[in-house]
Amino acid sequence: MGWRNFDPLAADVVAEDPNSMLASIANTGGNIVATFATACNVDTEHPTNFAVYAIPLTNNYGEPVNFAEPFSLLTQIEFISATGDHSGNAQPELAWGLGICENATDIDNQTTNKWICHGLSQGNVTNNQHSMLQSKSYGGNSSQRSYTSNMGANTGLCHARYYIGPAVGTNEDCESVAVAGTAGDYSGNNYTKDTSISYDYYDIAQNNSVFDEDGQVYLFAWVGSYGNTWDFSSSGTAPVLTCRLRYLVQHDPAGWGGTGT
Amino acid sequence: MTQDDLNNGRSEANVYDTDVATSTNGVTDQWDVVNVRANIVSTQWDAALASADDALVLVQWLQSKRNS
Repeated sequence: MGWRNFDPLAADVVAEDPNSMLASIANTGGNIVATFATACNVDTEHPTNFAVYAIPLTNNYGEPVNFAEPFSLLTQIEFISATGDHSGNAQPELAWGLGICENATDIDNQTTNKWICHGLSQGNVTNNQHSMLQSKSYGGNSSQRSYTSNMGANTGLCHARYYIGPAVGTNEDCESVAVAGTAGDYSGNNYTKDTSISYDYYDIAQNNSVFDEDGQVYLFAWVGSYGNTWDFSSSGTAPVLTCRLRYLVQHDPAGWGGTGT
Repeated sequence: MTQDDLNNGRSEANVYDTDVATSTNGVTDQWDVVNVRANIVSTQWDAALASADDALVLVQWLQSKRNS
C-alpha cells in the first residue's frame, strides 16, 4: 500500500481542538488546508494541546495495529504553503505533524494518555526555515516538548522513523520508544539535507511514560501554533496552512518472538 | 592535539541546540540543551581525558560544529 495520506476528515477520525486554534480544516486533493482561528488566547507549545485528529492505525490489510505487536512507522511531514499573518509577534507560529498514542479521545490528558510525536514548526517565513518539534508523555502525568533551533533555509520536508517495542504495553520498559527525524528540501531539489542537524533523536526515558496498554495504536495528526496568542479581529489575517501528512506502516500481528532458545 | 587534528582525522560530530519544556498541571519548566552526536576517535578522547589543554580543544572543536 505504501504511503498513505492522513485525512483529518476520514469517517473514523476522532477530532478535538481543546484550545480552539483552528477555524476549519479541509482535505484538498490529499493536502490538508488548515485555517487558523481569528483569535486564540491560549499560549501552549505542546502539540497534544493543538487541534488533533486520531485514527486507529491499520496495516496494509486493514488489520488493527496493536502495541503488543511489532510494527514500524515512517512519517513524512511536508510544508506546501501558507498565507496570512504568522510566525511574528502575536501571531501563530505554524506547527504540524503526526504521532502515535494510546487513546483516540482526550489526547491532551497527561495522566491517561501516552504518546510520542514529531513534526515541523515554521520559525522563519522568508527562508522557508523550520524547526523540528517533538512531544512525548513524560513522568507519568506530564508533557515534554522539544524544539530544535531553526534549521537552514528550505527545510520543509521532514521524515521521522518511530521505534516502538518490544518492551511496551504489559512489558512496559523505558528505552523502548523513540523517534528519529531529519529534514531538508523537496524532491525537486534532490532532497538536500539540512546540515545543522544531521538527525534529531527523541526517546522516552522513564518507565511510567511508556505505552502501557497492549491494545490499538492510534495515529494522530496535530496542527496548531507553537506558542503565542493572537487576535486578528480588528487587524491582520488569520493564516491558512497547507501541508501534507503521510505515513507508511509495516506490521506483523504474529508477534515479536525472540525467546533466546 | 589541535582542532585541525580533529578536523582532519576520523572524528565526527553534529551539535545543535534544542529548547525543552515540560508541562505538569499547567506548570511549565523550560531549559535549553546542546545536543551532541559524535564519534570521537578513541585516542583523541583519551588525550582529552589526560590533558586539560586537549580537553579544551575537544570542547572548542565541538562548539565549532554547533549548528554549522
